[in-house]
Amino acid sequence: MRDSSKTKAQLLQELQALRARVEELGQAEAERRQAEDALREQKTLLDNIITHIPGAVYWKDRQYLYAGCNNAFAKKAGAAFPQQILGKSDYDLVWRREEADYFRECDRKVMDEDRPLLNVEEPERQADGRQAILLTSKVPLRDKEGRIWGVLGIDTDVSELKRVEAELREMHAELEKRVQERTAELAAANEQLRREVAERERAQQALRASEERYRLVSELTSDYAYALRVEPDGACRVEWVTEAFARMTGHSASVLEGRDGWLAIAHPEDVPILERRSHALLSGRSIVSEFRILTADGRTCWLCDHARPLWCDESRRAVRILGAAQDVTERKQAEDEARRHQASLAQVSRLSTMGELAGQLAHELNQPLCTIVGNAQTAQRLLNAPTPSMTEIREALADVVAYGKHAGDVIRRLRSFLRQEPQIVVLNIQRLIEEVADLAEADARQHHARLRFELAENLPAVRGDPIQLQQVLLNLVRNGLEAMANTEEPRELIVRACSPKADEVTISVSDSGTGLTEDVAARLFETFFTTKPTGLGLGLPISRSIVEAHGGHLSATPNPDRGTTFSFTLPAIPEAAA
Amino acid sequence: MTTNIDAPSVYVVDDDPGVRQMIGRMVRSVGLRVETFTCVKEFLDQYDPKDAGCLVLDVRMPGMSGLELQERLAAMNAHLPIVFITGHGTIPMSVRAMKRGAVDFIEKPFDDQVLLDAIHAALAKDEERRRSEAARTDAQCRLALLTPREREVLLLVVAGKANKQIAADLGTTEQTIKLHRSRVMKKTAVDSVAQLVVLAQLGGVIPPAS
Repeated sequence: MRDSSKTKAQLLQELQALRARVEELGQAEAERRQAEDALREQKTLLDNIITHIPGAVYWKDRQYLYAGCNNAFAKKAGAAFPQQILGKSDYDLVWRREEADYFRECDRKVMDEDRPLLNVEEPERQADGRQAILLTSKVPLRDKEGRIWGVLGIDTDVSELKRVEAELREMHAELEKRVQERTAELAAANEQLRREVAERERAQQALRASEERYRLVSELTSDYAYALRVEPDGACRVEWVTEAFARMTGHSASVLEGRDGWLAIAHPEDVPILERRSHALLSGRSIVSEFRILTADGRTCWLCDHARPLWCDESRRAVRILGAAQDVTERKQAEDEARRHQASLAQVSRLSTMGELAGQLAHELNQPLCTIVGNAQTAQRLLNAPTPSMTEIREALADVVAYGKHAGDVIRRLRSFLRQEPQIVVLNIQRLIEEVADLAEADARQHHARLRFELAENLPAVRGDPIQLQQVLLNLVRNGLEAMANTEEPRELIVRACSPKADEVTISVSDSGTGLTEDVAARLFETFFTTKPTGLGLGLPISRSIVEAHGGHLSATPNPDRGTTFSFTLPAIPEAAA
Repeated sequence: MTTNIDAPSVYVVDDDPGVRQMIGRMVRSVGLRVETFTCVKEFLDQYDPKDAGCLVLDVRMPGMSGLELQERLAAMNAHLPIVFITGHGTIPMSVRAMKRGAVDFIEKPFDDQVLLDAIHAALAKDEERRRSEAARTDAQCRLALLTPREREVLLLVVAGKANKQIAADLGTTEQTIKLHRSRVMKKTAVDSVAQLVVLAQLGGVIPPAS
C-alpha cells in the first residue's frame, strides 16, 4: 500500500473509474465485433449475390487480366471454378479471337475513357461450343482515391431470348402473312359480295325497267293495265292502275282492292267467271278471262282480262298480280249479233249462191241426159244394122236406164234443195233489210258500186218468211249491180222501203244501169230467160213466185233518167194486230 | 268393119264415164275404130302423131282442158282434127276452138247424126291432109332424082318455054335439051308437061297455082 497515503475514498474513486473504463472498452470491442460481423455478413451476401445471379459476373484489372468472376462466368469460360481464370486474359479463354479483340477494345474504352458500356449485345462462343448472344454491361472499377483500377462486367445470355424473339418475329411475320392472306380473302369475298349486290341491284333495276316496259306496253296494247299486291290473307292492294281504268269504268282504282277485287263491279251473271279467275291467280296460274263489269254510269262493259300472278316460292303464294284488260264490248256485241243471226245468215248466203249451184246441177243433169240420148240413138242405129250386135244394144239400153235414174237423183237433190218450208213470222222490214245489208255491201264492193238505203221510219210489220224475202231482195240487188256493170262509175244502187198505203209496204231496188229493152222487159219474168252469159233465167221468176206467195207483187219500171227500178209490195199487218 | 292397123281411129277424151262409153258405142256402131281416154294426160301418153284419125274432146275436164290439149297438139305440130263437145259452151269458147282449127263444136246433149257427121268430116280432113302429105313426099322423092342441070331444064319447061329457047338460055343445043327433058320426064314418071307442073308444085319447086 504504496499509496497508503491515498485515502480509501480516493482509491474507491479510482477503482470506479477503472471499472468504467473496462466497461467502455468492452463496449467498444463489442461494437467493433458487431461491425466486423456486419461486414462479414455483407461480404457473404455479396458473394452469394455474385455467385447466384443468373448472369455472368467478372472483373479484370488494368492489364485486362481477370481478377475474379462468378461460377456462371467460369462455367461458360470453360473453367471448373472461378479461381482457375484468375490472371488469365480473354485470349486465354474459349472465345474466338475476334471476340476477344472486341472484348479488349470494349474494356479499354470503359477504363481509358471512363465510360460505362450498357446493354450491348455481343456474340460469344461458349465453352460447350455454342455461339451465344450476350447482353453485356461494363463499368469501371475505382479504388478509395477514385482511380480506375479495373473493369466489371455482367453478361446475360440472351440467345434464347433472341431465338424466341426471332421465332416471334417469324411467327409475327407468318401471322402477318396469314392476316394479309385472310384479308385478301376477305377483300375478295367482299368484292364478290359487292359485285353480287351490284348485280342484284342491276337485276332489280332490270326488273323495274321490265315492269315499266310491261306497264307501257300494256298501256299501249290494252285499254288499261294494273299491278296489284297480294296480302298474305289474299286481299289485294293496288300498286298501280293506268288512268284509263277510271276513264273507262268511271270507278276509282280502289274498287279493285280487298279480297273480292273485281267482284265489286262485276256483272252478277259473271261472278263465277271472276271467282274462277281469282282462284287461278291465287294458285299461281295465269288466266285470260272475259267478263262483264258495270260501269259507274250503269253501262255493261265486256272486258278481256289477261292476268299473271307473281309467285313467291318462299311464302308459297302469289304476291303480286299483273294484268291488262281490254274493252271488248263492241266485239262481244258483234259476236252475239253474229251468233243470233248465224243460222239465218248462213241460210241466206246458201240461198244467194243458188244461182251457181243451179248451174252446177244443170251441168250434172246435162251429162246423164246426153248419155241417155246418145245410147238410145245408138241402140236404134244398131237395130237397123243387117246383123245387130245384141251385146252392144243391151249395154246401150242398160246405160239408158242407169243414167235415167242418175238424172232422177240429180233432180231429187235439186228439189230437196229448193224445197222451202216457209217459216211465216211477223217481220220488221227494217231489220230484214239490215240483215241482208252485209252481203249486199260485199257484192256492191265487188262491182265497184255504192249501196244506199232509204228506209222510211215506223214501217208497219209484215208477215212472211224472212229467208225467202231476203233472197228476193238479194236477188234484186245482184241484178241491179250486174245491170250497172257496163256503166260509168259512180254506180249507185238505192234500196228503198216505204209504206205508201197503210196496209202495204213497198221495197224497191233502183239501179242506174243501161235499162231494159222492150223485148227484154216483156220477157223479164219468163222462166229460163236470161241476158247474162252465165245466167239461168231463174232469179226473177223465183222472186216473183215468192212475192206472190206472200200476197204481194213484183214489177219492174224504167227510171225517168236511166236504169230500172224493181219493186215488190207486201201486205202490212194492221197496226192493232202487230 | 275394118280393123286393119292403118285404119283411122276416133280418139275420145271425156272424164264422164257415161258420155265416154256412149260415144265409143256410137262410133263403133258405124264401123269406126274407137279408143277412149279418161283424161288428156292419158291420151297424150299413148298418142303417136303418125297415127291417123280424129279427136272427140270434152272442153271442160279436170286437169288439162280440151282447149289446152288443142294448143298442146298444135305446138307438137300434130294436126289431128278435133271435134269438141261441151256441156254448156260459151260463144267465146267455141270461137276460140274453131279459130284454132276445130272441125266442130257440139253442145250436149247432141243428136247422134250431128256427132257422127262431124267425126266423118274430121276423118276426111285427116285423110285429105295425109293424102296431100303423101303426094308431097312422093313428089319430093321424084324431084330429088334430078341432076342440077335437069332441075334447071325442068324449071324452064314448067315455065312454058320451048326447047329452042331453053337451049339459048342455057347456051347449049336444042338436041341436048331434048335429051335432058326426056330424062326429067322419065325420072319423075310423068307423061305430060301438065303433070310435071303439078309435081313441081307439090314438091315445092314452084309456088302452087293460086
